Amino acid sequence: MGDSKVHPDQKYVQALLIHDQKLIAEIYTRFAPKVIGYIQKNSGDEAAARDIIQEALITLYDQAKTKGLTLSCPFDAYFFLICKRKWLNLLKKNKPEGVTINDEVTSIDRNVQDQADQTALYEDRASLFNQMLEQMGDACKKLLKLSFSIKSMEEVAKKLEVSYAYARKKKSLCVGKLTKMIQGSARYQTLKNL
Amino acid sequence: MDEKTILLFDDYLQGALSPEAKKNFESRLETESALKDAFVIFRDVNQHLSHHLSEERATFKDTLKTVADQHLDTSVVPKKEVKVIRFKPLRYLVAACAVILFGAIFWTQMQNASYSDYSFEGTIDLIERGGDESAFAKAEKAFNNKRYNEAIISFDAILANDPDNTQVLFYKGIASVEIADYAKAEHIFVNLRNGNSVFKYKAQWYHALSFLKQGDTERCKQILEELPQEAEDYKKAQELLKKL
Repeated sequence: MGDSKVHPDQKYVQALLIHDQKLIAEIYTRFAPKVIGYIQKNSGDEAAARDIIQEALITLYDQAKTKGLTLSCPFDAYFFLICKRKWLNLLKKNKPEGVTINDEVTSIDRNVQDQADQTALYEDRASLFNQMLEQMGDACKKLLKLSFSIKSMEEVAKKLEVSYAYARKKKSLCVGKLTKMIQGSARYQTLKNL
Repeated sequence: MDEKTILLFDDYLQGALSPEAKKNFESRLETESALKDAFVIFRDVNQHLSHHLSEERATFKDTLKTVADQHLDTSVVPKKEVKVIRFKPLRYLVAACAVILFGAIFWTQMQNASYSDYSFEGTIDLIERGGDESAFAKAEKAFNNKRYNEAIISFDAILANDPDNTQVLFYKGIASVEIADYAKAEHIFVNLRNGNSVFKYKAQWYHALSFLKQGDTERCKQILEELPQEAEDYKKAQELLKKL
């Protein structure tokens, strides 16, 4: 991280990384009520809030795990903004004609916004990867899903009844193909500068 | 990007290049922007897939679900319907007599704890982790409708592709107890108890219950006594121990 300091709330990101149930429970007790309140005020219920909170935490976990996530702002504001945006996106998707938002106008710290923007970009990119994977041919899709969930290529080869060398090579070529599909997609061009 | 380039990327990431080839590749990355662009995606895709499809990520989702169940009101278990009973004195009299009668007959047995007092209640909601989606749906439906034999067939279909799916294993264990296939249940619960998933202690609790159902109170007690305080079912276990 460049100029900004690591915020003490980094401990919550760390808790996600190591599956620390106690601290994750603290996220639920300390930060979830605000999100639930907001969603309830904006045509949602607690069950919807629960899904949004879960999704947001998974996104943070994914980002922290694959790209690293260093908090330079309070977790509270950052987490709330992510959940809020997720909820508004969902509302817009279900009601494209427009929704009324009950929002108290509060000024959001620039730092919080930047951090949430970064997470949104990360998420867009990850969802593009998933979307492209689903568009692949069955053979590649199956091989990739197996290779990355089983890890041992020997086992994958055995399962698919092919040689180890063939499975390994084919896996690389499938990742290459997926790379090309992503590179060629219009969505990638807009996300390129993450 | 041709086949040769793809395999070069892969060898680089696997650390399979000679020091000379590695240096050569790195200097190419600095000068050829198209190559670098492709390499960055290739690397990120590898990173993304190995995280996204990992066992660890699935465990994390299980953990979140458990914590959310404990700390939010909206548990996945549907709330039982509340029935409104109108006040009808005669019915109450009949009901009261029935209660007294049953009470008189069964008062000694009332002290005993039975498996059905503690058996699995509510519905399950499986987290799909790729593979055959219909198997997940079938398993859920069969299990929630108490068609345990059928549920086990679907659990096995999921486990064929994903043998380490602890959530599915756990529910298969419960279903096995329900159909009195204790050997299978025993095998599953012992493995889960030795593992480190979120189902570790849950498995211990149901392992104890399977002995309760078989009438082996000693084994049941022994397992309950070993259940640590941090386990979700600790209170229930203590209550059951008292009854036994």
